[in-house]
Amino acid sequence: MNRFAKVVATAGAVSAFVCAPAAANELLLVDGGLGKGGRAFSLDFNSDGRGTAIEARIDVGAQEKGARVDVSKCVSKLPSTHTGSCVFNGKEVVILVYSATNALLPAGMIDLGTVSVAGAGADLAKDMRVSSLIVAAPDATELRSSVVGDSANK
Amino acid sequence: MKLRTLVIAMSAVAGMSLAPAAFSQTCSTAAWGQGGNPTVTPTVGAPVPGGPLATPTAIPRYSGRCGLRAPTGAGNYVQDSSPAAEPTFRARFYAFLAGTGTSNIFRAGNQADALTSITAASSRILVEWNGSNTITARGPGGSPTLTCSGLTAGRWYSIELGYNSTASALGSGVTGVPANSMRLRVQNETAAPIDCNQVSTGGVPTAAANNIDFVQLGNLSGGSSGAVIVDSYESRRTTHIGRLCRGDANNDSTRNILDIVAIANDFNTTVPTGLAGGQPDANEDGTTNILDVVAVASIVNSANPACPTP
Repeated sequence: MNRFAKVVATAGAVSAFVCAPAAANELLLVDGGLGKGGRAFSLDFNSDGRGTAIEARIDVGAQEKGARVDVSKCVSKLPSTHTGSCVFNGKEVVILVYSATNALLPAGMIDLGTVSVAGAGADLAKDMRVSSLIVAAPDATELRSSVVGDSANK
Repeated sequence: MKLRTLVIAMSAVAGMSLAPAAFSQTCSTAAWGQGGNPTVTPTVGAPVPGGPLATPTAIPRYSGRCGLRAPTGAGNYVQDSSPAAEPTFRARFYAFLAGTGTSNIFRAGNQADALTSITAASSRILVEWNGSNTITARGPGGSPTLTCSGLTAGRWYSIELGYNSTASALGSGVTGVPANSMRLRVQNETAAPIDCNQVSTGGVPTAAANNIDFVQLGNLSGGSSGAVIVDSYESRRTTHIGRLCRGDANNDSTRNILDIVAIANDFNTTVPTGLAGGQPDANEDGTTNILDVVAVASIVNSANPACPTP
């Protein structure tokens, strides 16, 4: 599937969820391509309404080439019940979304913002890969989840 | 080889109603008092097993759902004589240090040492908290003396002891215990991190009278004006024990978002079954709250969130 078709398919999935209950906990990465500001990935989470928290660890694949990783626009639009953090620790981007009361994440698409990679080596960020995704239920057990759109799941 | 893991166990006792409030928290010291030479009762005085939901006074715990509160004043402790003439011995427990008076909080003795004689002269190992900032461990008859200072009241510390009355070294490096020597290690990983690791050069002679036959833990003696809280006692004959994984709230040997959810459940719950079974008090301050969520988030955000090797 080429990038255009994938974006269309994702948009189709979004509209489908408006009409029917979400069926999966999916982390969707959409590669915005290489532009002036570097390469930006948008991140969305397709929630089935049963999870309360998310941990995603993302290998941006370019840090060793001196790329700058910008997480300032990541997890900035979460539901009011939840808080989050998005940190680049020098090895990977770690996204945490959680609730102090373990409120459920609403069913449907949740905007997790964008992660951008700029500077030398930014092009290598096309190999961005989610190394770990955990979606937690309120009883602290892990729910089934999947990744769409990273280098391992294109 | 593991000798004993003596927990303050909890079981949920069903009431007559199906309502959650009908479940009561029952923490027990029944695992103590084992062994036979000397024969010991599980408790002396009135140590109180309990957890964060205990009433009227919540009892902090480091791991699992229960801790042990040894009330103000001497003579409130648990004891066990599972050790049987052990020439080598390792023990680790956690203590929530508080109070303003000196108290002896751990003792290991030989069968010839009177059970109620809580003095260095009649102990193989005696651990003292000075009520403000120092833990001291004394060997047979009071020597050698190992001291860790710079501690802070109102925090959990792991206290690990190594005791070797044989002529052969027990392990090596920072966890080893040289021949006829003793080691004291006191650690806290948070607000004022400390890793005090003291080892003697000799001082523990080979002698049957120095073999260990019983242990006591709690508020043994002294004039403490505050309760002593202890938890997570473990003993072995030879191998290093080490710390439990801080922040591994669900006790699965990893630290991730599931621990954050378990901690949130822990401080929001009103029933014992909602308490986390691992180590949710990630900032080691005696309570679980949003600060522990932040502490674990900080660990998970790091490049190395894995539990360290003990």
